[in-house]
Amino acid sequence: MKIFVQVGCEMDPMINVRVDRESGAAHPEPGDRLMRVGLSGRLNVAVAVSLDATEVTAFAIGPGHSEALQHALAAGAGRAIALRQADSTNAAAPTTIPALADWLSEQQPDLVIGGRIVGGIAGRLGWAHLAGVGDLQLDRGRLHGIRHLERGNREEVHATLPAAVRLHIGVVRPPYISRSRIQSVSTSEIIQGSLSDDTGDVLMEIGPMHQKRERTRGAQTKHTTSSRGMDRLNSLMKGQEQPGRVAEKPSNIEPRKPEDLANEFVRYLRHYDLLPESRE
Amino acid sequence: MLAVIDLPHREILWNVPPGFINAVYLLSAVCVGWIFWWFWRRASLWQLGRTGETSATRIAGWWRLTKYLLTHRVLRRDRYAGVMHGLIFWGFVVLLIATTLVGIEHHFHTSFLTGPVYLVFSLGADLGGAAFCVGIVMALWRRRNPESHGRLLANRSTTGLLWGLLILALSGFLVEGLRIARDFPPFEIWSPIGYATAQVFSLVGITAETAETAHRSVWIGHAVLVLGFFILVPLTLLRHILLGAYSVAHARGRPGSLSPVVSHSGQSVELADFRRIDLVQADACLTCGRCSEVCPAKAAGKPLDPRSIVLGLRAGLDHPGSPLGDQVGDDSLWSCTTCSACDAVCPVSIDVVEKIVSFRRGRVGESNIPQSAAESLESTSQKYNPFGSSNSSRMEWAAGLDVPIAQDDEPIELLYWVGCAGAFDPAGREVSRAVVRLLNHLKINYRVLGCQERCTGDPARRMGEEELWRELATRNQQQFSTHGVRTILTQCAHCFHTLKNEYTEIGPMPKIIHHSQWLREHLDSGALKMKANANETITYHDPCYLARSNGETQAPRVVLDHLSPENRVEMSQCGQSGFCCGGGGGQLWLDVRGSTRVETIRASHVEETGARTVATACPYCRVMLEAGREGLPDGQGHWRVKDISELVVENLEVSR
Repeated sequence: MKIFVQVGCEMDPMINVRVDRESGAAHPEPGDRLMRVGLSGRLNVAVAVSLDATEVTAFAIGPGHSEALQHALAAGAGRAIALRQADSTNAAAPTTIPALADWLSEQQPDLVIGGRIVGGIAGRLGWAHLAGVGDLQLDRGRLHGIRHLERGNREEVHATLPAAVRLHIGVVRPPYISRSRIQSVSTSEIIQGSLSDDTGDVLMEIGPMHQKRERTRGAQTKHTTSSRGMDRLNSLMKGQEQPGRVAEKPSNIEPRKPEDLANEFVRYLRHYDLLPESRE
Repeated sequence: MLAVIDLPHREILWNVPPGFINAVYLLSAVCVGWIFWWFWRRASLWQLGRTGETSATRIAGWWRLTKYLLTHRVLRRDRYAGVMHGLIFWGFVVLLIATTLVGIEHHFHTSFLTGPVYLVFSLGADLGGAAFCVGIVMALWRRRNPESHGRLLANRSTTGLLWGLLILALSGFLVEGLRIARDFPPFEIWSPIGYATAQVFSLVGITAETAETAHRSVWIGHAVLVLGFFILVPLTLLRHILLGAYSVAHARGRPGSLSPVVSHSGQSVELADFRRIDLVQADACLTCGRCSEVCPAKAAGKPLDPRSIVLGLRAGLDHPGSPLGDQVGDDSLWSCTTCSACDAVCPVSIDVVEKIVSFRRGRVGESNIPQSAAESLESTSQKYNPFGSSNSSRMEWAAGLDVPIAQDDEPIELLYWVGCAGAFDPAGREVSRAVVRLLNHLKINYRVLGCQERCTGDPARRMGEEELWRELATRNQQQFSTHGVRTILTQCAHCFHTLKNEYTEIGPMPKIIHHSQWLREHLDSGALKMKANANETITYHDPCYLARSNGETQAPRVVLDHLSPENRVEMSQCGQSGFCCGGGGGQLWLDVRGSTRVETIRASHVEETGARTVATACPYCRVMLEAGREGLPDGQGHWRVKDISELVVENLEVSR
């Protein structure tokens, strides 16, 4: 059985950080280390290793996660892959999901354990999805987990492989991996991979909600005046009627009718198999 | 001139047919070969261990063994056992010498055991045999009710062995008595026990001829017992004759330090993770239980029994195929405070703490450690301190104080090493503030490293995370070199110990002084003056890593005597035999339950003294004694805990 686990480094939430308003960069206080190996990734690896898989592969998206990948190898992962993204640096960005899903479908794992994006991956690949579970167990191709609810309640959840799982980190702490084990894998290879970079097509396919917009001060979208409207206004003010003239459409903005928006939305739902008829 | 025949002497191996003599020699050679073969086979297991530093030099080690045997210093702590073993040891040595002389005379056909020499020889051999018998009887007497002695194991094989040795010694007297009963030579009065035995034979009607016949049989029986003794040497605790001597000769001079670990498997513990001397010591163990008797964790009802740890390692040698880590329990391992009280009292100088830490390394490699320990190690790795605080807050203790922080590459004459407890623990911070006040009062040129200071790694190392300690030590040592530090002053006994004794394996280190030594120096010189406080009844708790591991017991007491020379009282277990506070070995972050707590036991010792103040010289001890006081019954604990530096600041005479 092949298991892929997502790992990564994260900012240590227990230290004070100063954020540069200009660049957005975070700076720790002198003497503090900003980044640490993410607890969720460590837990993912630990659970994957405990499931007695034939192959456990750790992957991380984006730069700066080599320490987490090394930690994963020391924790028992057989391979570590650093995935390079073409554009977005946010591994959790929705734009990452399709590319990652495509990559995972090529790798053909039986189980993916990761962060928030596993839901989108499951949707894209048509897999089962379990979120917020602990005590994961595998029995003859079927996953069994316990989801811890409020007030100490628990529920049993099950899923058939292939599946994507997001673990509940609060319940179980990842085991401590000794420095000697980490050092023993310091020369192990971290495979470099890349996700699909044809995000342009993806964006068009996704629809207007995820279109890139220009960033402006105060996050206000730039108001672009329709040149056709201005022409008409000018002509009216000048008393020049130009009936029947069709002004040029602006190159950057296309007027969208409500029907167009609705069709776009339906395409978006169909793309992610979120329409009821697509699941039947 | 007297004829040779008239001089006191005896015929060697009289009345023993040559065939028997040759058979005994042959069988003796076989038995010695058996001993060699057993040790050679066992040594193939010992060789699986890693090489590690042992004695500084071979000569120093053998000199230590010689002094040890001559004085029986460790054994004399238990007076009965000291006398008992002394009699057995010296009796055996005398008998061995006597037998050797007889053998030399017989083999080389010489005749030096005659005349006055023979008389002295006879008397010495008899007295040696008597001492041996008395010692064995004392051992048997003690074992008739082992539970009353607490530490002894009820062990039939050991009791049987002692009976066998007694019979062996008594049979020698029987042989001598039957020999003397043949002729009753008058000079044999110099063998008082043999002569008395002969007279008893005569009284009961044994004739000369009967004595001669019986002598041959008893001699053969005695020879068989001697051969049996040889056979049993490797199989019973008699092997301590060889292995115990080897262990003492190769032991460290002082308990507490851990040996350098060149390489570690990083996985489950194996024989290769122990030093070779550790594996030898596992076989040398006498199971006497002295280590268990002094263990503070065991006294608190925790699962740890140091003897079981050593015997667990021996079981690993006996069964090399089975997982070594399974030979000792998790709770047992994590209960240890690494105070080294067990190491200090072991009669064969076994390094018990070294073995416990080796087992812990295996647990760390397996990721099988308590949650709290894991958090502490992660904090040390990420934030450079085991307390979980951000490293940037390392100087918060100095708020309001003028503390000079070293700049990059600035040369430092005196570095004040605050330590993690001194930086992050509330009680420890008070100690740091007191030390800084004194440094500033004396206008000493010193620096601190501020947020550049990292944990020495002592808690991590004691918890079994060797590589983390090495990383921190390497980095710290480089800092010292970069700043050209000449002297490091520290108030923490753990930091003091590891900087002074263990960092040297990383690289050259400056001089390390403990703040008790520094205070003593300045008080004795008059640079610091204290107002004497006659009303202050003070007792002093010796930090294990200062007293036992580094032999420093006087400096803190001298400091306190400046304050209250008449009213300083000692606790029941103090000095190098002090009882641990319970904070070492990572115990601040571990919590194996026992029937009580180590610190509560120590607090009860403080209570017994009636002192108003208990002083200590380590922030860990300060924290633990405060905690122990909280565990005392209602109505007790009306005393305070102070570091010696705090007491000096309290009572400092400031000249206007």
